[in-house]
Amino acid sequence: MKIPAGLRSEIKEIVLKKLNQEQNKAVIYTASKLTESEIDKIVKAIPELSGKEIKQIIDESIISGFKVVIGTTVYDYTLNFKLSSLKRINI
Amino acid sequence: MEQLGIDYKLLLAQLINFLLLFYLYKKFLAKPFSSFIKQQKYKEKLQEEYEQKLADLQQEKERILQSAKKQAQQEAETIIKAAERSAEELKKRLMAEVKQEVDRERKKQLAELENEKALFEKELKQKVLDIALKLTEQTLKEFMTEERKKEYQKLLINNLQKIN
Repeated sequence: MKIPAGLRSEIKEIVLKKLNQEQNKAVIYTASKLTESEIDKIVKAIPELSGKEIKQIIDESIISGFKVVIGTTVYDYTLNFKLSSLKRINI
Repeated sequence: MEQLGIDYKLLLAQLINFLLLFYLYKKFLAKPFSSFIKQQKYKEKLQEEYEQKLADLQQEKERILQSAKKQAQQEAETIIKAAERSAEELKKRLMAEVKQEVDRERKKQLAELENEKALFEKELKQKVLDIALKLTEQTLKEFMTEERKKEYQKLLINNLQKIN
């Protein structure tokens, strides 16, 4: 399907805007609720989090640990991730 | 002489008769007769010669036939031996080719089997790993109470800078 040139640039603009919006937001997926001091420590450890709007989501599928998502960047410190990385070991 | 019973007149007449006969024979018969005899002898001689030549030719013919037969036999034997040798060589070559082909096929199949085996082993190990991880996940889910989750999180956050 060929997209007309004018529409193409419009779509690009919208996507970039959305991306910027997402880049200013950060979501922490966690197994159990984090305290404010814990969040501060996380922010200190991950400099990209500073100045961002942080949202916390309790994800029951997470065994333990947490996952920080900033736009398209993911910092995964969950046990799920550790277990799944074992799968990638080349036996 | 008359006492012996010999008649002189008769004897004379017989003598004259004989001489006359002899003269006539000599005059008229001797030459043709002798030429006839000569001709006959010549003919006989010619016949003998021809017969001899014929016999010689027959012998020659036999000899040539025998020699041709022998040569033909020898050539046939040579051709047969050459054909046998060629057939033997061809047989050996074909056997070698077949053996090579069989070896190649066998090696190929062995290699395929090895590949399949390796693949199967890898898959099996992966499956075992998957099952082990699933079991671990289940176990951890059961093991991780709210307290333990908080504890792990605390530990993780405290060590976050070291990890990063």
